[in-house]
Amino acid sequence: MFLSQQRTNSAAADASGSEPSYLTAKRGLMSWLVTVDHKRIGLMYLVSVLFFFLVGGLFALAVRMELFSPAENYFSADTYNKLFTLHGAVMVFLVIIPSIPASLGNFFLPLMLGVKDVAFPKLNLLSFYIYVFGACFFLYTLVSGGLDTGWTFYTPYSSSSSETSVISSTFGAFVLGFSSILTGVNFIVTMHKMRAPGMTWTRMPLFLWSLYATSVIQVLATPVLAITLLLLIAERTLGIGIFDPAMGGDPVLYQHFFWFYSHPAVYIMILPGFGVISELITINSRKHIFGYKAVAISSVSIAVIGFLVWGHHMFVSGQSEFISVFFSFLTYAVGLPTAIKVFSWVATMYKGSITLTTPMWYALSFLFLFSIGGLTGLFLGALSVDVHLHDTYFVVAHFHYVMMGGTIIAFIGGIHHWWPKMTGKMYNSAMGNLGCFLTFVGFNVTFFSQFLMGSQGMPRRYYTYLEQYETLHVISTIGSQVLGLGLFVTLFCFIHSLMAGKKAGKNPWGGLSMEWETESPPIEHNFHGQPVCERGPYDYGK
Amino acid sequence: MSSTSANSGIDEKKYLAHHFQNMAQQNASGKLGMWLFLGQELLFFSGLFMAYFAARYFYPETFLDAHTYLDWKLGALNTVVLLTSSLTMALAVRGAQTNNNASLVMNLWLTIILAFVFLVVKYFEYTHKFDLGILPGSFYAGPEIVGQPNVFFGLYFVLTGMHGLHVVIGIGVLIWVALQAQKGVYNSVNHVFVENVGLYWHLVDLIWIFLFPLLYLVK
Amino acid sequence: MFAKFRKEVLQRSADDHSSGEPHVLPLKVYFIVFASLMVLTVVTVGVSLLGLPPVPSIIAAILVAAVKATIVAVFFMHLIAEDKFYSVILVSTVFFMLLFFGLTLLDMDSRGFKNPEESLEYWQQFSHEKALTEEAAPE
Repeated sequence: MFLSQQRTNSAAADASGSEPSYLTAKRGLMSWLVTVDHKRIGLMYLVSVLFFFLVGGLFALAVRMELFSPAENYFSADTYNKLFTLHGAVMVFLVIIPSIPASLGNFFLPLMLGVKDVAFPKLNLLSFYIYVFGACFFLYTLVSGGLDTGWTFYTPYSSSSSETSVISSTFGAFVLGFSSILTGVNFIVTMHKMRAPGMTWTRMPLFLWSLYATSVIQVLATPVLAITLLLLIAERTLGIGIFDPAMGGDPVLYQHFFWFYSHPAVYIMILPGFGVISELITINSRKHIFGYKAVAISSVSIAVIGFLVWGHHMFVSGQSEFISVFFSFLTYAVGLPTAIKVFSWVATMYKGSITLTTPMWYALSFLFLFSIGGLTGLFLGALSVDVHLHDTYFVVAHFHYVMMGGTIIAFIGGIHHWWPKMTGKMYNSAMGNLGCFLTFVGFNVTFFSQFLMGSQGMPRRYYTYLEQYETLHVISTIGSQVLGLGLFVTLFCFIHSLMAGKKAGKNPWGGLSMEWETESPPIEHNFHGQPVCERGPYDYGK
Repeated sequence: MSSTSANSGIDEKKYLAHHFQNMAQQNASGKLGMWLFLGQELLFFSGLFMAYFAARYFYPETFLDAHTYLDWKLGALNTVVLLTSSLTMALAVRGAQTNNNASLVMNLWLTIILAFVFLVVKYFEYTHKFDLGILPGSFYAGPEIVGQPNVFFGLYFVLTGMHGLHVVIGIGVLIWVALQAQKGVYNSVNHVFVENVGLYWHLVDLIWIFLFPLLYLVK
Repeated sequence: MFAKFRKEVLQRSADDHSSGEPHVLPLKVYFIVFASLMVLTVVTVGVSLLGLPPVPSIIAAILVAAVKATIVAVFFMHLIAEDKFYSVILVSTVFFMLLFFGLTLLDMDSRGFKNPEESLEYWQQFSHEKALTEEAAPE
């Protein structure tokens, strides 16, 4: 048997079937609004994140439509600035940063640890409401004049000149930061203090190691963003004179402040994706991960080294050459643990028994897309090359390959993978695969062309452009339509599953980590009694 | 595996949350969570200190001249007040740990009173400045100083203001805890909440320990 | 040496606690720490009156403050008697903070921005221009 059970619950609970799932245990809207069940909170986050993904995606489609030709197509230049800014801000703050940790992390962390809930369930609910509160400020920004400073809010434009809703959007991002911090605190404490008996640190699934590293970054880096945004608001309202040269400040200082958080933030975005991929590849290759300890340690190393590279966003800002060399060197260093992971995943698949499920197709897409994204980061990390590529579409393509081709692909793959557990239903694989294929093709057409135009000099955040870039822009825009179509097919796949999907068993993929021991969907308290962990999560064939 | 604590005979089950196995796990989790939160508060203030260091680096003469409008004696008084409140807070926590409810309640109220004294001193400092026209940032309408007054005074008001906000929040929480303590809620088994509030209060004190010399004693 | 000191303090508090519950420090410790903090506050003011040049002066002030902060953290915040991991959290936080300060200040320094006269001129000119335009277009 997989698990031994210490004490079963006395009266009500039975082996399976008689205890209701977390979805039906308590009914009514209020039971969801005041829930402290991590699974319900994870679902509420999932729905919110997907909603804002749609909003951010629509902005993206609008941007691409405007760039179909150099002339003014649908939007004025000012509106265009607002579109790309809001696309970035919504995607970064409302979608990608919370995406995997707040939805899949919240749902599966306690299940994978073999416990009933996270350490602070009420704090978890508070995190969610803080997210909603922050989102309201963004929604207000949308209707009150938008934002046109770029998602990076660089001074002095954001502190003196922009007439858009800088204060409401920065305050919204400030509030959202606290949601992120509290989730991080919750996860770290849960992993330290609440593991099932027998679950040592080295028996935790790698998804949890990645969440741990992510949480450390969330706790250490996000407060610096919080104070940066507050100082920006103070600069804009009171005129303190630290960031704006007209008032005596230094705009490069703003960039140091901003990127001290925002670089580690990109590791907040990608590390959980790495964790998901570790799960997808092992389970679909029915093989133990190659180099468990290396992968676990590499997550923590990325978290630490990631704090030392922020200046690589500022090579051409006027930053001193000496410090630029330091940052460039460390940027190369942070690529090493990342490469270790990619090697481990590929080595895991070697001689494995591979099943091409939809999540596995997403994992393979991730390997291809993230590798391109990561490698192009190295091009940008070289000082002399960055002088030519900075603020061009090359950068735009690079970060879309890692953030979308990396995190979002891993996120969707993870949703497919854990869908039967969360909902108790199977999805239609053909539809899922079609969504993956269209997304993959559309994505590459959209963004590979951007590498090309960027290296030829096309600047980013530009409303119009020279004739010579038009062909590549047309290709990129068509790609974006295919990408959008692929994502809608995936959404349809999920909705169809909810309405007409087959019932799922406890363990449709034959996984060995603890979440697969529960019902699909799990009962409210996750397990019947306290499970004991007797083996590692990847001990296939043992 | 009795649920009463060994020495004090207090029933643990009363305080145990459903998702924890025992009080030791629950208490340890509570404290770990609080230390992590303190870590992030420290980094939050570090941004303000960074702004301070950058501004002082750029405008040393401004800092030298402008800070003379800050009364270091009031600053020193506030330092003594906060350090004493840290003592009373630590004694309050000790009272909870040793089941001495009288000590807990008295020291909590002493801490609250001292915190109010801090705010009163701050109030006088601020109003005195406003009278002179020393307002934050570009609203400055005060005496001529070397260089740009908005930088020093903007930072002064933001730094002490943010710290003061944390003091106000601390007072609110402390009053709540004191009222709970008067009802006898805390004891040697259930005192982590008091400890955590104590940790927060000590952090507020720590921030001031650095703010005082950096703002008031620039030489 | 610190480990020995720690053990001593914990042993002396051994009578005051029961198994599983955290060590309670003896009352004496709190008052000794408080007295030290008062003395160090006097030192803080004293150091500033020494008339040191700017950089050593700020370093001395920070060092004294750091000593005060350490004794508050070790005794009032109970780090000496708690799980060592809390100290790890505090130390790593301070480390990342110093990293932020250090690298940013290093950049400021090697950029050669240190030109307050030029900046003051620019500010005065800009304020003068600002004042002129405000005069021309009153609101």
